Amino acid sequence: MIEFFKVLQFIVENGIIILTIFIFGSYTALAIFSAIAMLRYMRKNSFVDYNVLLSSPLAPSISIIAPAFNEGKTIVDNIRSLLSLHYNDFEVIIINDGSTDDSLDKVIKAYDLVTVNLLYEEKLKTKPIRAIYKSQNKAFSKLVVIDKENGGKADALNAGINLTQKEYISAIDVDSILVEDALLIMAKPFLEESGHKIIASGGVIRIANSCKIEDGHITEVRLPRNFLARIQVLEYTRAFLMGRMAWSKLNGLLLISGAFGMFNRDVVINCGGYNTDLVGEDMELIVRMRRYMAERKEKYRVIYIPDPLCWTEVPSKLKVLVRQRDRWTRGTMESLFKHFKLFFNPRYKSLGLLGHPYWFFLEWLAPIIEFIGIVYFIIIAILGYPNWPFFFLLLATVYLFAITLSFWAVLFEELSFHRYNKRREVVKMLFTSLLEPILFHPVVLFSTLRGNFKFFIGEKTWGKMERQGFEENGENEVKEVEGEHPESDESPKTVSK
Amino acid sequence: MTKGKISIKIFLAITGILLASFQVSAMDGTFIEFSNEAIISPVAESGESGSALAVGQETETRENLSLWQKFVTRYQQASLKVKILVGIVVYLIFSLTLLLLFILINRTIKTRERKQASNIKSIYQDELTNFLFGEEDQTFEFTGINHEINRDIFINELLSLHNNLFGEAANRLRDLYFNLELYKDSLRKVNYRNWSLKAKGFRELAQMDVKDANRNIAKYINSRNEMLRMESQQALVKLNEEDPLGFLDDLKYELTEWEQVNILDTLDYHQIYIESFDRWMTSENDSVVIFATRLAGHYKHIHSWPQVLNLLEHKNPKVRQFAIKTLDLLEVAENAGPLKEIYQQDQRLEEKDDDAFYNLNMDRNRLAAIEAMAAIATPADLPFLEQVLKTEKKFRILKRAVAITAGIKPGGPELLDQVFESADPELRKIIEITKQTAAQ
Repeated sequence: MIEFFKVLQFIVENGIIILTIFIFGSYTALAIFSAIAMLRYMRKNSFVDYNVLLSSPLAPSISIIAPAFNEGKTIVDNIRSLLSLHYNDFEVIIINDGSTDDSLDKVIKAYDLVTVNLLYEEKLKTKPIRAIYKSQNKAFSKLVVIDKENGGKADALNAGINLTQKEYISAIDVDSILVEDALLIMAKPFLEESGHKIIASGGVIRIANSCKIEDGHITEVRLPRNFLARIQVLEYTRAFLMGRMAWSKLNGLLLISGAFGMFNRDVVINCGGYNTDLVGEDMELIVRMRRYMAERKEKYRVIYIPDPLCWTEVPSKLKVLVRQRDRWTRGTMESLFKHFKLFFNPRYKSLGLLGHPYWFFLEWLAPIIEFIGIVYFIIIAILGYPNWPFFFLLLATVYLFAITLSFWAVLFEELSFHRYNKRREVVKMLFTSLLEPILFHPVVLFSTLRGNFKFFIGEKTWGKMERQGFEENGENEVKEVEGEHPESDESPKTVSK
Repeated sequence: MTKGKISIKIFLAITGILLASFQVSAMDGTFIEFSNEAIISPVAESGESGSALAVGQETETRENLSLWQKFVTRYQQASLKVKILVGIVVYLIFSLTLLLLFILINRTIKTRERKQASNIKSIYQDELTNFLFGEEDQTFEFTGINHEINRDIFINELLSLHNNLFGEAANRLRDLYFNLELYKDSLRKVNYRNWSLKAKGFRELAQMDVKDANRNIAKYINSRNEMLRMESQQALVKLNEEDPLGFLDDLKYELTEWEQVNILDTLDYHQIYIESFDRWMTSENDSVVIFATRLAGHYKHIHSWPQVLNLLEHKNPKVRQFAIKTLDLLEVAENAGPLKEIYQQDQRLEEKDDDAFYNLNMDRNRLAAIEAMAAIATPADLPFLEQVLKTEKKFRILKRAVAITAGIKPGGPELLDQVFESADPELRKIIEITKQTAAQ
């Protein structure tokens, strides 16, 4: 028995250290890959003139699909912003997912909509559609509005996919702000396919809290005044510029944010569309699409674009943040366990050998091991056995590594898109990164554990959340609202640390 | 019991066992065995008080040492694991300091450089505007143009202005480019190892029509670097007046759609006329065949019709698809026969194959064939359309076929009524809604 505990102790203590080194190594490797990929992208991009697509008869057709639920405060402006995107052959399909507010009435009035009898094939099963609307005003001919019974974001997206006839679909959160050239930039990778089919592309999601917004466009980028939102700027920068860029290069990308992504319509339909039973439908779709291609031995790629194309609000209140992260964790777990067949399966190449195991160990398992480590240490501390110098040495290593990563992320941002122009903002970001491991990480860890707990007890709710809409004075935030609704349109945007 | 509940019980059980085991082993004192290089205290590890004297002597000796000496002594005595961690900490502190300095200094330098570049840019913009509106025989001096960085900014400004001008003004800028011997700078860039400078050189030379560079640039049409490949293609379209698309003969790589979009843009922007694309419709490179076919459709080259028709026999379904689309654009009345044939041929091929992507191509081809019928369909085509309505299973194709049939008069609406009687519910719905829409 004693031998057993000795072995167990050895495994726990050394296991934690090995995992720490493994995590350090992985993040360092990802940062290096990202730096190389980013450098190449920036140089390559300096030669690209996206405007050639604007007038080209060879440009592909795109459908923007935007589900909306109780977006009455902002929906009219958001649709206007979508209709003003720079692209020629595109349509905007708004799906009113059984809103209980006045969203639909406002849209009908603002865009002069009338019901139409459109023929479409219900390739993906959805909740019943009540009506389809189009505008009588030719200026809004690209707009289609679907009014359907509430079925959640995935169900609404599927309804939009059923209606579209275009080659590519772009799924977005209706309250996100897209830059005017977003479709031009996002469409390019699909045109560059050579030997590999491009099945999806995703872009960076940037944080709009405190930014100045006029007529649905970001006119001045500002670092969020709210501390929690500011920490998320760092987190998103790290995840998008340092993580996903590398995963795209390794063809191991498992997630395209629900806030803005573009997909090959045929592949999405052949895969069965979005899964309506999950809270992490965006990640699961990508995993399923990749699996579908791999099983048919088709060469494919999922592309990631580092340009800041989409701006969105992030939670600035702790309670809302915890709910969001809890849901992201469940979303990740759903995809990982539902497609566990991929785990170290060489048949799926980079997906099975790299992407899935990485997410399994570093996104799902790492927080659990961290928790076990903390509990283990607390017990030792209570029993009076801790080796304090070693403990502090280990803590210093982990802390310094965490802030080094954040500093690298700030540097990436500085050398690439340089969106925060004021020197004060950079200093603030650096200072925030010093506090992040102490103040923010425990919250994320708690949310992750809560997500795990909820996953194992089988809870599938999204939680209550409503965006207050972008204010022109820059006071943008996601706020909690009263009243229970089965699902909100808030999209899980899992970001790797 | 639900799956979730079982999972949580297993989870709790494992956690409980782990916690319990730590407690048991801690009480037992067994933790200590592995602990001199881990979280558990090495003092506790000794577990004995008998060595108090030795400890006391050690403490006395340590008190006489400076802090640094104490640290060094402890470090020397530490295990490998500790040494590695100390090494990592030192490295991280060092790199953090460097990063911090780099970020802040870089910000200062970049801001200054940007300001300087912006200043010099506005100076050159003014000087170039003065040059354009000044007298032809007037002598002009351009500020600091001999400085390498300024010279590059000057070239950029000159090219940017040239890009927005036509006629006499554009020619004056071109003359200036040659008089200041800026072409030498551009030619030098072509010889750099760095691909982005090379590509920049291609652009400059092409924009300024430096025909002598043609041969240098042509070397890169089969470069492994896709950017060099694309930039060289674009430059050659502009520079090779006699045969702007001649490089397609030798192209070994796939011509991506992005490259096609850019070449077409160059052709349109510079109004480059090419008599025929037929020669590339027999290329062994399928992407070249597709591009040539698309161009024939875009420029409505009716004389290419027989060549496009031949492509309906091509083994690559994607080539067939673009051939059908080109036939649609050419709107030749004689298209109907071949389109019907290709529809039937690809329907037969789909039935034979289970491959989803292959079938997707077949679907697209059939849809394209039906789409192409829209502009040319006559009552004579009704028997074919009746056949389509009775055998076709794909919704999108049926929908289009019904719409085309409804538009053929006389006979179309009557045929739909007749088909309606024996149609399945989906086809009935399509016919009904099509008729309603037509009535509106």
